[in-house]
Amino acid sequence: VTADNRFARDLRDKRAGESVGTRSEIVTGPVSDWATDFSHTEPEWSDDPYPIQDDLRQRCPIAHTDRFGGGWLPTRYEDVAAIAYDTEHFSSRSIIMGNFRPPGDLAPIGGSPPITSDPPFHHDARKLLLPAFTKTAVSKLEPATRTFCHSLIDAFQGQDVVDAAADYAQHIPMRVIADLLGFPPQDGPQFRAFAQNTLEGINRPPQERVTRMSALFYYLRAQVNEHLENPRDDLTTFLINAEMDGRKLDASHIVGTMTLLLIAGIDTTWSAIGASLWHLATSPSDRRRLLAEPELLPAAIEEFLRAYAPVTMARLVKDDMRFRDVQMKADDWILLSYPAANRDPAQFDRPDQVIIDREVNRHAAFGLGIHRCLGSHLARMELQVALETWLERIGEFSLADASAVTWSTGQVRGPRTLPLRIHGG
Amino acid sequence: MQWPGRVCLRPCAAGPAAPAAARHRRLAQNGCLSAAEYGYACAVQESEPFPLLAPMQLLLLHPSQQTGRFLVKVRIDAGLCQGHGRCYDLAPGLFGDDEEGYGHVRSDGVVPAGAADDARRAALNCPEHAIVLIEGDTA
Repeated sequence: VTADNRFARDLRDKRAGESVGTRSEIVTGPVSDWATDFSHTEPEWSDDPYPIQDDLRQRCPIAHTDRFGGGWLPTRYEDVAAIAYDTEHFSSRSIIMGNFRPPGDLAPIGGSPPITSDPPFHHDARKLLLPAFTKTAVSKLEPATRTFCHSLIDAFQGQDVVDAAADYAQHIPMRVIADLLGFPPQDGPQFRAFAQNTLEGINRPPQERVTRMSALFYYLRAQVNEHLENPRDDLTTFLINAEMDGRKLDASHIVGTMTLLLIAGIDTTWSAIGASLWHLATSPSDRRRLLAEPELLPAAIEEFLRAYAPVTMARLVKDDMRFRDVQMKADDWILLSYPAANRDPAQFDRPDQVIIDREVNRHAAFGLGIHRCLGSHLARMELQVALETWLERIGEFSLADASAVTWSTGQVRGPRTLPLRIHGG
Repeated sequence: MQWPGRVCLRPCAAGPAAPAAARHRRLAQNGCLSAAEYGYACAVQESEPFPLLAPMQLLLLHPSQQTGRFLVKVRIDAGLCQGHGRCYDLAPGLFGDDEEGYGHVRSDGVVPAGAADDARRAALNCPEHAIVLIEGDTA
């Protein structure tokens, strides 16, 4: 075993500890006016954000809030796209809008490259990862994913009502990501806790967040050490050995990217599978049509991604600037709502309707521009296999208890409790 | 040429609400997208006043039937492509992915007979508007 001194020092640097940067006051409670006081952490938003977004798009297309230290919420496709493309004025150095802003000198790398990186660093950090996430590369994971989906449904044996979010959708990306990174598959429940703290815990007290983030870093450091001792064919070993400009990656880059793959790969796809099943459970005509015409599934998946896009991004304004009619200040947040963009009537015909055979569907569920979701082909493969297997095995199903459905809060939205009555099994 | 005027129900260059149209316009100015194709894309996208017509426009009103022009070539603007992969998902006969997932046109970009609709479908579903359709005359 060769000593790798990159990992000798404590990895809990400024990212993990949130020790350097700016904190803002935690403000919670009911929103007074969504145009001037929006919050993506309130239950009204997580339960049903679409009427709020539709209202804002008409009366105040770039809403503002003083919460989280100040931020903006564009709801028109045009504005969301313009900001996504404009990496000169909007930084990705933090992409989770909360009460903590990392210091400006964290750019252009950010805590979890390449999602938190700006040009020019972004390009090479992303290029390194692209080959592992092409459609061709991820198709190799399809047979194992299918077998795993079948095993989850096998476990429904004897049950009339199952939780499709907790007992099905959740486990699929957990298993896929654990396999990709070479982590023990039984660690899945820990990943869920890490992801929930990162994405949903943004209004928790700072010390609690630091403690929880530290747990993630200790876990990843242990995985790196284990891979240093037992290198194998997975993304962790790949990152340990990878080079950029002839140099091996910094330890913080490696662990940051592992954090990204772990967090971004799980809640997102879990949400997309869950939201698709929620739609099919509540829309009998679409469900019956897909059962009768399974070849429509790829188009239907794109429509579910448009209508229930799980991911909202965030940016930080680099310098004081004017954008459209508003004056933005340096370090203001932008809550970059791809879900709102995807329901803009200026961009989509009948945006509020789910049309499972929609012909023209330029949705932005995976983002636009240089930060296009690295895992989009993986997510599409998982969605296809998860829904195909569900429809094949379950057949007819329906919502068992509408009042028991819960949705995640924050920037990744999807069902977290989804009791479905299954008739076939 | 009747096509864009008849079917593009709203002016496509209609300012702030039409970013896609703005990109089309830029492509058209650069000579990358024919005027007919530009009108066609806008028509499908902006058929809101008569939404039920949208699928029919795809089938019935594409430029070749209106103008005597036909689709001869397709290419990908590498400066715009971000590797979403909609083209090689929807039209795998025409497009493939490279080792980083970016789309490329198979062979020399000449669209075989019968594949024009696939090419159009790919172009109309590219989130980055990176697919350029080039038309020729039916001479």
